[in-house]
Amino acid sequence: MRVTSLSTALLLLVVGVTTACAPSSPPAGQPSQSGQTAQPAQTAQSNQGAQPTKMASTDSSKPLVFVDSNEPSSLYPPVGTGPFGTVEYALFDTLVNHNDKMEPMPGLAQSWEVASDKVTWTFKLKSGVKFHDGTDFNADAVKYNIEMILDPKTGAGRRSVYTVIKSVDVVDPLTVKITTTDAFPDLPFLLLDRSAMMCSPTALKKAGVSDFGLQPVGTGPFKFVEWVPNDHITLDANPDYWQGKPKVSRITYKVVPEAGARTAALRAGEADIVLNISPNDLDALKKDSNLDILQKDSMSQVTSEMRQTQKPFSDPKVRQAMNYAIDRKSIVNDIMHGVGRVADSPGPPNVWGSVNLPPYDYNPAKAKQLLTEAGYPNGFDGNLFYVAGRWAGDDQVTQAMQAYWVAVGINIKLQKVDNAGLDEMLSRDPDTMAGWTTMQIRTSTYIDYHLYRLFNSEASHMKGFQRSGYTNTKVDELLAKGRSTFDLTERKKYYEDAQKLIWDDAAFIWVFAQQNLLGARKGVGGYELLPTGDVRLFNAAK
Amino acid sequence: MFRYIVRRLLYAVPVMLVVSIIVFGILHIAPGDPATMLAGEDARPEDVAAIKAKYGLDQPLYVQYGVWLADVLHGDLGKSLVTRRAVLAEVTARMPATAELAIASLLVAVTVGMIVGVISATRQYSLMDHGIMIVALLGVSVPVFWLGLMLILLFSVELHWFPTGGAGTFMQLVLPALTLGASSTAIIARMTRSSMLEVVRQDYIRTARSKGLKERVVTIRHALKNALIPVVTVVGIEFGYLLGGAVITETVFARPGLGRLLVSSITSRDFPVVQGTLMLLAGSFVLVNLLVDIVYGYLDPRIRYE
Repeated sequence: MRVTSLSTALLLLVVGVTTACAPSSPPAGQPSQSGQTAQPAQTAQSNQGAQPTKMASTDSSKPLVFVDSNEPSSLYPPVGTGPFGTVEYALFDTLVNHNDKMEPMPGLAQSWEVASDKVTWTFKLKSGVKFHDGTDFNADAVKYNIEMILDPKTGAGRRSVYTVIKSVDVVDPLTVKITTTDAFPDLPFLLLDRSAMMCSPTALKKAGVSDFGLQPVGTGPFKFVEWVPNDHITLDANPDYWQGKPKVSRITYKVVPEAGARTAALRAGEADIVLNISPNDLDALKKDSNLDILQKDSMSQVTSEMRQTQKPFSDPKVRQAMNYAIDRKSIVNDIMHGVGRVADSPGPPNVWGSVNLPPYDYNPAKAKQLLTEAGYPNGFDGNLFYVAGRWAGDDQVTQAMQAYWVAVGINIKLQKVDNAGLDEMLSRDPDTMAGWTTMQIRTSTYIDYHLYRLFNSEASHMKGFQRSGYTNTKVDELLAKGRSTFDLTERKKYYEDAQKLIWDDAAFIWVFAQQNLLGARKGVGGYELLPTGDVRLFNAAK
Repeated sequence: MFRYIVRRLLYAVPVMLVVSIIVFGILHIAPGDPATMLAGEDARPEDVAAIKAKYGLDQPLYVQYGVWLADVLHGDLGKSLVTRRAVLAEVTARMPATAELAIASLLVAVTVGMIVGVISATRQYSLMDHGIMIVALLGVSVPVFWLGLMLILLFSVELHWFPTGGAGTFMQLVLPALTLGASSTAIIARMTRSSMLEVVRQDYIRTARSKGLKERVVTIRHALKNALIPVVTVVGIEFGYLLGGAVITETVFARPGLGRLLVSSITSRDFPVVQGTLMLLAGSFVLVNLLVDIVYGYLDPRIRYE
């Protein structure tokens, strides 16, 4: 009897304590802890003291809370090229700006022109622009930035793309001359890339590349305040921004790795803008009248890329069969909940020069016929290696594709690997990878870059991630011609012809073009969702 | 007792050394390397080689290990290959969130688990006993991931009682502690129950009752205290697991903890961070086990340490 009453009493006590701790009404807006550090800390070490912050509630005097899944590696743009561009767009500017279609516009450079020799470019810079540390943005800064990218010691991930720049010369403080090795009509596209964002040479020289990545200094609409690892990054408005003062005084970039938790944060009002919403949550979110949901085309495509120097994948009929075997409409509608578009181009979606071609329709009978013609009436065995968890739906899409292939006799075995394992396998000699294919996401800001690195036979045989072994000399010729002229109509024709060849060759399996999903609380506006998946927050307001 | 503790701490040294060698070995056997990942998909072989040279990754393995060990003995755990922050800074930045969560989960698990286990044992085969054991089975079987999201949906989104995630405040600790503590609670409840059932059948319990002691005194001072020994073992093991293995809870609740650090650094082959974090976790495990053994000595006077 006594034991019962004692233990019951204890249980009630525990329950009572936990209930008492929960407030009876929704909490009022909590003061954000990130207000503590007003000045940017001088060294990276001082980040240790900063505390993880509470999620702030939506309120006009509070920071704009932006939630995404990706923790930056480094905020030095040539090195930090991962999927956290929103932070870099807030901190930095490029010489060449772009609109929401990624088309070049004046940026830190007001104008540019190329001389008749096709290799000498002159950029006129905007005057009166300062970096966050007060130093001037000028031609010397441009020269320093580009030379840093070209220096192998910096470790810039896209250095090899910049080697087309032979030299950078200062003509006067507001004029820069860039000389390329050969005619390179896409130089403006290269310079609008995130890796070309302009950093303060003073800060970069003082801190070195590694520490600059933890304490970035740019010309952008927001200044760096603090970075609590795996928790949040705080950015304050730059009142002297050359394009005008931002409307929000502070941005808190919060990293929430789980899609369900991001959706919850949006619905609970803890986040103002949330990126990378899972398509599974879309229906529930669309019904919420407090939210705006954006679904926009991206520049990324989901592809399966076979190593094709050996049979069976060296035979175009086999690759075409694999393209016909898949029901893309069903993948987009049923697995991706309509978030995506059936692939209709080997070029990146929504990029100038990409041509739309008749999609490979779902035709298993034709697939079987092609296989028979290729000498595989009973199909064949193969392997697909992939990383799961990189984008919403990747696991299910891959399994669906395997099922479609098995249905026509192509026995693809799935092999899940992790990122590092995938990189290692992609770098192997394609001759040793007969019958191997992979799942990839492909995204590029300009057509020459995309077609060249994937389909040029020199690139596809080079040691690196692109070594599928695809070879078509006509495609090589067309790509070379596309680079050699500045005439847009001519270039477009060359790229279209190249893409038609690539498409008919069925160089890869193109599945669907991805779309970006963004959710925002009603009342938050002025943000710009780019096809790259990043968000420009300069004009954001709440 | 003092000599015992010193001896145990000295044993820890070869243990940590062996752990470091095993971790180093496994990391380097796994396919992929950090230089390739850092260089990115546009990199040429010479760019990857430049990065390897920059971080000393092109040296033979025994040289790399030797350099690492020499640095550690000087107190330098190295720098992250990805962020270039000091490894110690990376770890200490995440310790508060992890320690909070581990302690809170353990508190929930120990208090609720023990209370519920005692109730179950003293009312064996009753409806309450069966009910509690079914709930305990659920607690162990329910995926942490699902439980966490369900709690967020109910208590954060619908009721607005707690925040959806983050770390640093008590309110942000409640849901994760309940999520992570659920399976530990169930385990401790079952452990307490079976241990109690065994002890309650002992002669000395019958003696205590026949001495005329109140049932409550018999249960708590005599039975529970002796039943605690296996439970304390489980608590020690659970604490070690909670310190390093809470990655799913940390991911769901966006807590910047050691679990997430470990997983992300393994994925990016960030060798110094993996090594440093695992060495610190191994050290914590050694200390926790030592604590558990000392508590045994207190609980059971028959156990004496020379």
